[in-house]
Amino acid sequence: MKKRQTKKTCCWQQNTVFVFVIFSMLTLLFKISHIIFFDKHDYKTEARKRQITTVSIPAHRGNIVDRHGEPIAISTPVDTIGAVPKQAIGSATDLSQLAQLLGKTEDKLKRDLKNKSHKKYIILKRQVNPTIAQKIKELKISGIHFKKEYKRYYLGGETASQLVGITDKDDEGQEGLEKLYNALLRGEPGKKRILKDNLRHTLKNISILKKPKEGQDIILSIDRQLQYQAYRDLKSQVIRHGALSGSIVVLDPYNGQILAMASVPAFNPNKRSDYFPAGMRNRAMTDLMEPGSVIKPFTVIAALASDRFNLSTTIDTSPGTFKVSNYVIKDIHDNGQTSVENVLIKSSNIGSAKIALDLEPNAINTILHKVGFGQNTQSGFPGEMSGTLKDSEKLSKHELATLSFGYNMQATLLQVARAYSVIATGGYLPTISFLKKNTKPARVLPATHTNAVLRVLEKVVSSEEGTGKKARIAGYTVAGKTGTIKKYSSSGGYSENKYISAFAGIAPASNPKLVCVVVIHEPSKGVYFGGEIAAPVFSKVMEVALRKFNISPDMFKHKDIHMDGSQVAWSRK
Amino acid sequence: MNMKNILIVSLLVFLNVISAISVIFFKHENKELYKDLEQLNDEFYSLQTTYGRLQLEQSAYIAPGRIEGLAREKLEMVKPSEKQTRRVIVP
Repeated sequence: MKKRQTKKTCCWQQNTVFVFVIFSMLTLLFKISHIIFFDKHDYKTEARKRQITTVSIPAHRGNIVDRHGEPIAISTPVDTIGAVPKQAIGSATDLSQLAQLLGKTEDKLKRDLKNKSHKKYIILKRQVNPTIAQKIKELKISGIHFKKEYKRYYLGGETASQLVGITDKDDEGQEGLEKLYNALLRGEPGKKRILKDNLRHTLKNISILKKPKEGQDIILSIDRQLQYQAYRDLKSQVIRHGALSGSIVVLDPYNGQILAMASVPAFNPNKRSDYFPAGMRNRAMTDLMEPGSVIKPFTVIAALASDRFNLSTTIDTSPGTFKVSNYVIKDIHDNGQTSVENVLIKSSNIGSAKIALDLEPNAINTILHKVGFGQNTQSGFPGEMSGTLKDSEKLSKHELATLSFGYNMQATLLQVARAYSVIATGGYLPTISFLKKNTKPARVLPATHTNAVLRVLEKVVSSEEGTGKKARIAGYTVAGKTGTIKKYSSSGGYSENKYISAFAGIAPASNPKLVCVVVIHEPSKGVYFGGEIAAPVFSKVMEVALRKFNISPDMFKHKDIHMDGSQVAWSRK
Repeated sequence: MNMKNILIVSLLVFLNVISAISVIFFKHENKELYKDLEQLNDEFYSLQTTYGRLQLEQSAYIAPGRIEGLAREKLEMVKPSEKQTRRVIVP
């Protein structure tokens, strides 16, 4: 009986186990079927996400170097530090050292990690200095990851910041030449497939899908040392005279290569926190101004081209004022009966106006158009302005008179430099280039007229009566023209106390090699004439430029000696 | 099955084994080469970092401002005035 009972219990137990096993198996089967038939895509996608991912391989951005191969902007590899918040918080390691290296407090770091603990991955700091990244690696904190990126360094600092421009955090050109040549510089990032666990650890590199293509290096026409000199001298003059801003351009007039181009104020592109929009403007190309008296040489060229004037033709500028349609044109002094040549040397507004009114209405306009005013230089620089040059038919008598001394038109500093290149080269207009390449200039004016004006411009600097005496350079002949321009007020009319001081010059005058134009806005310490403010900057910068480019002196003193040998530029005290 | 068929089947089996071993061998080889490539890439980045650092250092040393400062302060050099300058005219 007892045996039967035991057998019955045993059967019951067996059945229970059997039913449980069958039920479990059916449940499993159901779940598997459900996964296979209904959830398979979700599971597949999730599995792929966690295991195989495609990551980009950064491409090296091309370097920007000066005409001698000296680096101006370079990219070097750096690490971006990231974290898997949950893992980093859970790590047994002390986070205080990491926080210190990242420039944060430990509390702030922990708070950041906690607040973003729902995220799979967060970036703690981008583009960390390699030394600091190495120290963080040595801490061996779990959940901290490193991603290779490139960081741009600007070796010219603030001296060339507006010209070279900057890149953004993703190494894309944002401003200046970085933006203009972005397609060449940037390269193409590659792609690779890697196997990762769900904690973002790379388990295995699977394959390279696309090799990164490195960006090309760019050789600029700029001379780094001259750029420094131009910026330094301009900045010190702007500070000395309490001016608002200033710009300078040094140009090779034959091939249009820009050798230096600087603007003040500027900012240090290596310190993004210093960024301010006004410091980023390349004023030599983006700011327009009425060029004032620096235009007079072109008025004289128009006069010579008309055959109504020669350099000795006399013009009556007495009594120092001249009324044209209810407007009064003034000279600083009464120059009396003066020659066309003296109109330039003494910078007579009345003389220019009388020449303009005696010529055909479109004569000056035609010359200004031929030397490139009112037209973009085709340099492609971001934000470059074209300037304005009104049609001669739309100009009133008064406007025509003032156009002859650089009002009623607008131009950039670079356009002025390009126009002076025509005088320097005997009538050829160059194509502006930031790269070290030779372009062929186009003839726009006859050499007889430009050479005649060049000789007069030499007297503007060499003559004791000339306005450009402070542009003289020891050992070299200089040709140039000063400009002192009243600023147009935003409230209408010309300001009585705000001026632009300008100087445009060519050296050596006997055999022109370089053109330089300087402009300083709103000097505020009483002196404002172009010959006093801008001409000294021209002299200092060009003295260095002429020596730098091995251009022989063309003006000698009695004590200079003839022999073979070289000159020492610096001597001990 | 005649002798000829046995030989063909044996050859196919043999080729199959060779093919399987080759797959394993080349997969392993590929893995090793990829590992080498990764190592070389790491080395490349490391060298690039060093090169960049050296370029920055060189640039700081040859910065015109630094050289001018050294010339003026350390070497006590001055720019000669026009009176102190004598030009040499090379024939």
